[in-house]
Amino acid sequence: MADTAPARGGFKQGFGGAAGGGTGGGGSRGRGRRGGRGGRGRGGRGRGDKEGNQKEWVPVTKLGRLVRDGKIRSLEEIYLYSLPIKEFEIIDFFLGRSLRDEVLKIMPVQKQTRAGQRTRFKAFVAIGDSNGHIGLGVKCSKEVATAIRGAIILAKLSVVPVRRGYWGNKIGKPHTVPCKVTGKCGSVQVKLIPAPRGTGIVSAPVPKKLLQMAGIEDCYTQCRGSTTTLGNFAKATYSAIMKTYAFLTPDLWKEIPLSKSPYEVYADFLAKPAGKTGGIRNIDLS
Amino acid sequence: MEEISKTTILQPLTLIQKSTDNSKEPEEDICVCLFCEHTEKNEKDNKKILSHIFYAHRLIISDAHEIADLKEYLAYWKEQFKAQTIEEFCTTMLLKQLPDGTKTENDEKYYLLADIVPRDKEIRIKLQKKLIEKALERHQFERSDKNFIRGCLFCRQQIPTTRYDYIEHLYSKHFLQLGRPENLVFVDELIDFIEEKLEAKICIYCEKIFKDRATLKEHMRKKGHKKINPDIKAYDRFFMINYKIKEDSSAQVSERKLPFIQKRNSEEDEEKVIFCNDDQEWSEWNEKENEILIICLFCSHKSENFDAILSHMQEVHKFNYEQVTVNFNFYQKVKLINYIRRKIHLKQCLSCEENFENHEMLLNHLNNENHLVCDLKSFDKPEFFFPTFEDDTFLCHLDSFNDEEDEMSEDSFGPVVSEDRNLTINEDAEMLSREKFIEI
Repeated sequence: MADTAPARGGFKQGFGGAAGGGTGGGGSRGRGRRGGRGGRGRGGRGRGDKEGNQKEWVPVTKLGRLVRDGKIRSLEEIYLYSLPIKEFEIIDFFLGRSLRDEVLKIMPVQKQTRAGQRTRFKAFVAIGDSNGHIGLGVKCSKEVATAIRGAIILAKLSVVPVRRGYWGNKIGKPHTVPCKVTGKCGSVQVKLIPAPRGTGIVSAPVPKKLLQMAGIEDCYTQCRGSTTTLGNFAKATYSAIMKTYAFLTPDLWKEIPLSKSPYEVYADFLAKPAGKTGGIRNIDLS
Repeated sequence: MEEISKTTILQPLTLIQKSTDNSKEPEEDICVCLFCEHTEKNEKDNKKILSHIFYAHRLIISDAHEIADLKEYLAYWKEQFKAQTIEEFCTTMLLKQLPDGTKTENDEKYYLLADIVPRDKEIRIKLQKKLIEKALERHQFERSDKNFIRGCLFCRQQIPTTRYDYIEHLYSKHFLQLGRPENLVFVDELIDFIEEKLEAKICIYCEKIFKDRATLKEHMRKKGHKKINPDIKAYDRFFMINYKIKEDSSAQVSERKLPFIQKRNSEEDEEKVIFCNDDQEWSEWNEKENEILIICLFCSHKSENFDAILSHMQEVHKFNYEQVTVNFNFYQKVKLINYIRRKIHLKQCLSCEENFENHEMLLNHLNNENHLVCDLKSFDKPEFFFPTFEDDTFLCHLDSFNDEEDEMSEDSFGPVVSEDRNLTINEDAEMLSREKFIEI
């Protein structure tokens, strides 16, 4: 009984408003006292976050509109035409359930301002479905939760497909990288080398996590450069994994006929203004 | 002993035994005075030790409540004062009264220790940084630990989950707003704290005492007090945002003028997607302390630098890695390393199959008999593809990064094949959608 929704705000809007108002008062008082600030951190849900997950996605890009209306069958079509993905909901639409994110590190970073030092939190997040997709994101923010959320969004936007291959016999599912690939970031270079089934991932902990999330089961890695810069190390591994599809192997030599990009194919659909339901259907009035 | 030389299947091995010391020694929570040996328990506001320092030694520490770790701070200054006098660091004040308030004729000297002195500022910032690191470590642990079993405060359910799910449960089922879980740290203590309050029938927001649990619940529901009061300082340490390194107090004056609404918008702006893929962003994550160590093949000498290990092996064990592997391709090098690791682990000689009691005898034998040579046939077997030790970092430095082109043909033991491509668009599906489309 006491656990039902608060009496003052019977509907969700009210509850959010009350909490927001409460935070407003506490927050502005806290503004003067730098030390005891926590106002925003505590009332952080003031925007009715409970149904935040189910908020209706209104796409703002052409690709988003196509995806929302199911005109695009799979993420691989988008990769085929190298269309830039600017909305993370697109990735969620295709990979949603199977994506697992992992926060690699949260670190405090400082910037020297006129009024002393300003500290913010920087979150490094890796995301993958352990079956051919991997993404990496980094975001800095005043609050830890905001940094993590921002980094997850950036990681989703950077999701790339991972090409896997066989070592020796073409039995079962592909399990290793198809060829030797190198990635570089800063001074760190990472090289991925095919390995026989059962080897596992032979590497330092950070690339190992990334390779596991990408769905590569067996791999040797070679590293070079200042690998203590783990940020560059992770980025270099990501860059190497990304190159697996950039490498032209003989079995890709066959020519596929050039096909039209979805923007051309669905040009008429895109020309129509986007209604709330995502498309106006012409009703035959005759 | 003969059976060992045949196929021994080894259990999963690791080279570096991590000493995960979760059970830390209980820290002695005592503050020692700067000047004498007087000790007090390390408490939240440290009034006792500060008042002792004031009364007995006439020293005032400015902003003492903002110091991250008073114990360390006092220990640091104790050392400093041993070497130099107080006047070097503290400003002296002259007051016409004794510490307890009685007026005197003459001026009495009082000392003030503040962060105008660079050293003081340094130590304060250092302590704050340490505190923030500790908090982040704990935060990391709490994020990943799945064994948090605790009965819910309201419905008494017990599910082993992560702390985040627990807090989400409190929010979604019982409307108790503690804040976003990622912003919280020391969650166990926070829940304890709140539980205490609820047991004592005190409202967590306004701290009024009620007669019984039912009235308390009713009050908290009606007034919307099911959240944490930002003004109560006791809750500060549970929020990550409060571990930031404090800016100068002079900043407060300018900040006060900004309206609250503006601040709120700026937080929302941060949430909008901003593309920043600078290299500099990634370079900041540096972990100089946990350098990955490479271990020598024959002894337990460690180094971060691969060349250092090679020269060590050359000098101490007379093993010239470069020479031995001059014509090997990558996979043969890997097999060689795994072979050597295995033999050394089993305390067997590399060439003559002799077994030894301990490590030193084996090394002596290898040195004397010059048996540190490996026959390609003995290790070019598929079983040595698999690393003997699971975290053998030696294997991560074998290949050079220059010759990429010629490696392709030699290495593969058969063509390395890719998976079937799924990149073509399903033509039937395309035809179908086109038909439908044209009709409209």
